[in-house]
Amino acid sequence: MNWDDYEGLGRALHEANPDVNHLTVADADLVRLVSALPGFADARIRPDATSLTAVRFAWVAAAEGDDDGSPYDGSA
Amino acid sequence: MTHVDRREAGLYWQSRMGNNADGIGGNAHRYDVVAEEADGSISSRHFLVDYGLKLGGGRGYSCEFPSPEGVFVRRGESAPDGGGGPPEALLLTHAHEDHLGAVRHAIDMGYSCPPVYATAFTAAMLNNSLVKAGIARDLWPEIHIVRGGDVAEIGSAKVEFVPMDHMPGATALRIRTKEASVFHTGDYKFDETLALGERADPHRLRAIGAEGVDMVVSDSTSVATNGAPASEAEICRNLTRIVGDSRGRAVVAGILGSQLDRLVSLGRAAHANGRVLAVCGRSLADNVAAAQAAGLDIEGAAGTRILTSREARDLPPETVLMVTTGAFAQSNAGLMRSAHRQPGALPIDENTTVVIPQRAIPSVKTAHASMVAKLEERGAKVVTAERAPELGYGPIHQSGHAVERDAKLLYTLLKPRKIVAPIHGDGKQVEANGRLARSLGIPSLMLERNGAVVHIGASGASVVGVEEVSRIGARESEAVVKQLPRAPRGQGRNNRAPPAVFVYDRLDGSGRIVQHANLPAPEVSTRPKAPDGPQTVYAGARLHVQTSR
Repeated sequence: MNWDDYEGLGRALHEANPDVNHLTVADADLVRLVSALPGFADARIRPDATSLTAVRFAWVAAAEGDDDGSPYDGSA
Repeated sequence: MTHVDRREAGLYWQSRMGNNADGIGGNAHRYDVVAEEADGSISSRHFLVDYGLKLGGGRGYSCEFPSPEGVFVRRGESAPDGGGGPPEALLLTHAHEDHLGAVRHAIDMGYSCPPVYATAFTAAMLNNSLVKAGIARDLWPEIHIVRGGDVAEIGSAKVEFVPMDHMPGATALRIRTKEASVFHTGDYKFDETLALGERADPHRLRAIGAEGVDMVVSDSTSVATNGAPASEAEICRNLTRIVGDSRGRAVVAGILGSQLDRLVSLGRAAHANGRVLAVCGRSLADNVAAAQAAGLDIEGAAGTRILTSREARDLPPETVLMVTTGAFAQSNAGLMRSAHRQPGALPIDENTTVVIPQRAIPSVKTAHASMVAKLEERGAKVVTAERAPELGYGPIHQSGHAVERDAKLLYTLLKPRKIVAPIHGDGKQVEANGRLARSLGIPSLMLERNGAVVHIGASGASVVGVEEVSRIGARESEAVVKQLPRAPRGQGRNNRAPPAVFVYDRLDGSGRIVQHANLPAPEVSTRPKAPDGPQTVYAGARLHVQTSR
């Protein structure tokens, strides 16, 4: 896996770190946790902010699932 | 397709969607910067402001949005269908779906998105939208982070991002050329007690006004509302009393996922009453994660840690304030699932106080009333935003949009020399905004339809023509979805459904079908990997941004 495989990284982070707070994990800790995943090939590459944020959301998705239904049209 | 000539020097503005007779949404605007060069030639560049969704609409679509045809560039091509140059940039005013939600659909339809300029929180929520849609990473637009005070240069125009109060990262845009100056408000209000992000600065707005503003393109949503709005600080105090009166009981609050300032208020209410704060629900979790990604100190503002539902599940319920989704009674949101006792939902019973600090909008009132009744059947005490004043708590909700007082303040600060153009509202809201401007001695430009092209130059501001602007109606493809594996809902990653696959109809400006479901098929290739061929045609379009840092 590399930094662009955000969905795979999100699932792997959830499986490897079920007790870590995926909502408020700091960027530096997120990089460290991804780099420690088995099979991660980009450990020497510093991710750009967009890639790191994508991984963060994929972890949230893996942990929280889709039960929510709150697409908000913003007009309230 | 009609085309309005844009060769006279000045600034052109076109609302491509957002001024809709059938409701608010799908906000998208085009600005053309036309300048006469030293050698007498004419240069022309353009950019987009917002590209959002209109949800529902009663025609069976999940959403509608302004067509990318003729505006965005198909992947592998160098110009939009029908010719003309590609937009230089997409500037996003804030992170609500009605302002950025169409980007993922345009990419899904096979278009490239121009470079995006947005504040960190808005950029993070765009990122979230692309993740949710399962868009392959190499199809994402370039995303450039800006802060309040940053200025992007697009041709001869300078565009300043001006913080406004609405949600974290919300900005207005001050667009200046040699001939014209426009202030595009985005969604806004004035509330200096909001905790997250940069606040609207009346001193800066006054300075902008002193330097000259020709036209204000202005949010109309709540301008028809009179009186003094409740501040978030007042709402926080009232929520603290409600939580205090629920000693010994579980407290569950239902909000909208994007209401992070309300989440902060609930966190402060929890902390003041010796409770911890926990959140449950995907969109709420997404917004909290976006705040973290954007560097917003949401825990610091709330004065308490934010626990996941997993971290909170073994704590005594009377020590927790659990915040979930469902303020609009969405079918699979947290409160709705609890009301219907779905597997895995938060338990709600006679020892639970449910707080809903968000008024129901007209389109959800029936579902909302039904959900509240169900929660009360479970024995819960339910304090809605509508009931809180009657119960003696005072207001626990305030619109995120400018009421009359706010709009009056903005126009007084900006002193537009020529005109106010009301947008983002239905007929009554837009009319109220125009009436307010006229009461202050400022003419108003009342656009009757999307697609009108307005020229702002030395001679004033006027409509120079109208172009047809079509919409796209998006609906989930049942045939495709049924072929995909769909894991049963439950806990953890097993309850993830595959991203929805959409088919797209072309609609006319009023929403009637013009071409039925035979637009380019949704590219399954946008999901696992990129198709062959060039993916980005915007290599030369990076803007120069003067930072305010």
